[in-house]
Amino acid sequence: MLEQELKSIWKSSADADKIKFDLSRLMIDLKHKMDGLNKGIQNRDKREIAASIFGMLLFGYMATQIPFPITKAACIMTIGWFGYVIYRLRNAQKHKVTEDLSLSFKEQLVNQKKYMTHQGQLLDSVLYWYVLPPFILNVVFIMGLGDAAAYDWTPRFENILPETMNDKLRMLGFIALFNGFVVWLNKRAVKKQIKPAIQEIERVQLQLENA
Amino acid sequence: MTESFENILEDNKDKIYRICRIYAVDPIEPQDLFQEVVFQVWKSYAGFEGKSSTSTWVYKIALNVCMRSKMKLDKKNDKTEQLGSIHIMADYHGHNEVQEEKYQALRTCINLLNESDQSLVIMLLEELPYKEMAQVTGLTENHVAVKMKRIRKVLFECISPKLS
Repeated sequence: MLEQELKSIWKSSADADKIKFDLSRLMIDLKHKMDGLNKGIQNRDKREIAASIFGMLLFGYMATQIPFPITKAACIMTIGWFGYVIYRLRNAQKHKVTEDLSLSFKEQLVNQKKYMTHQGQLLDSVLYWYVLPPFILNVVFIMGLGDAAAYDWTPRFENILPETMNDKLRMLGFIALFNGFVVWLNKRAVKKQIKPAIQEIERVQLQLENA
Repeated sequence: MTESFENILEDNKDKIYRICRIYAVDPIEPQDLFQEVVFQVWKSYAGFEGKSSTSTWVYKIALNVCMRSKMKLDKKNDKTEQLGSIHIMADYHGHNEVQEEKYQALRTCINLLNESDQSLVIMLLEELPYKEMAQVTGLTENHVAVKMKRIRKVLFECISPKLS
């Protein structure tokens, strides 16, 4: 009796609001929204790929100009690193997993936890796969710089490149600080966003499993 | 897949909206959630193979979208693009104050339940059989039945004094 009354109250709740569709426009709107979301992701990837190409050109140019063999080698390896970044981005686009919201709620939670855990691992290990490799190349590049006069070379970017050991260490210190900041930002995202989200998923999973 | 997207939408719009009204938590409005569910139904439509009934499929999407929003797991940009072709207007002529009070009492009691129990209560009120509830949640029918026994008790204890 009470259950029937509750069902009746529930069913009549939508009567308070009238929902109307302009069906001819709805398809256009939906497609527009989809395109907008896709464009946002594509633009972000394009920006990152463009930045990597710019880096490749810059280090390619320096490799042709700089006479010091170690720094030259660092330039070439840095170009390789940028190439790897582009490959990773393009690969991520190809293997992008689209979420399936028509799965059951339980499966959806499992998938979201898997996705969040993967994101967390990626951000947590940013030091090893994103920060350290280019930093090592930066160290090789800077430490490889020698005496321009000995090579009879007049650099066009004289004021940018450090000459003395103190200058080199200072520049590496700045780069290390910046990289440290990047690692901290990522670790913070794991702590403030990813871990609470995983805990939230686990909490609801437990609710679902309990009788 | 014989049913057109438009028909699915027309047949299920009220139930989608009822679910959205329960899960919308400030600053998210039921309209925002409703639009997001419509968008996700449209996105999934091409992949719908008819393994479950259309209504089960719609419930799965609606509940997943709403729960994701409540658990704050959705991407922020998902709801920035508004669908101007969907109009939701308060129907003051059909407005019944007594009925609205009863609804608010029911809503209060539903909100006292945890998220997982809320989704089962919603399906109970939508008159879904246990078999469909099991498909939507991913639990076994027996598990749903055990849970429903407890949830009914909690819900009835909460709502009875409010309705009398």
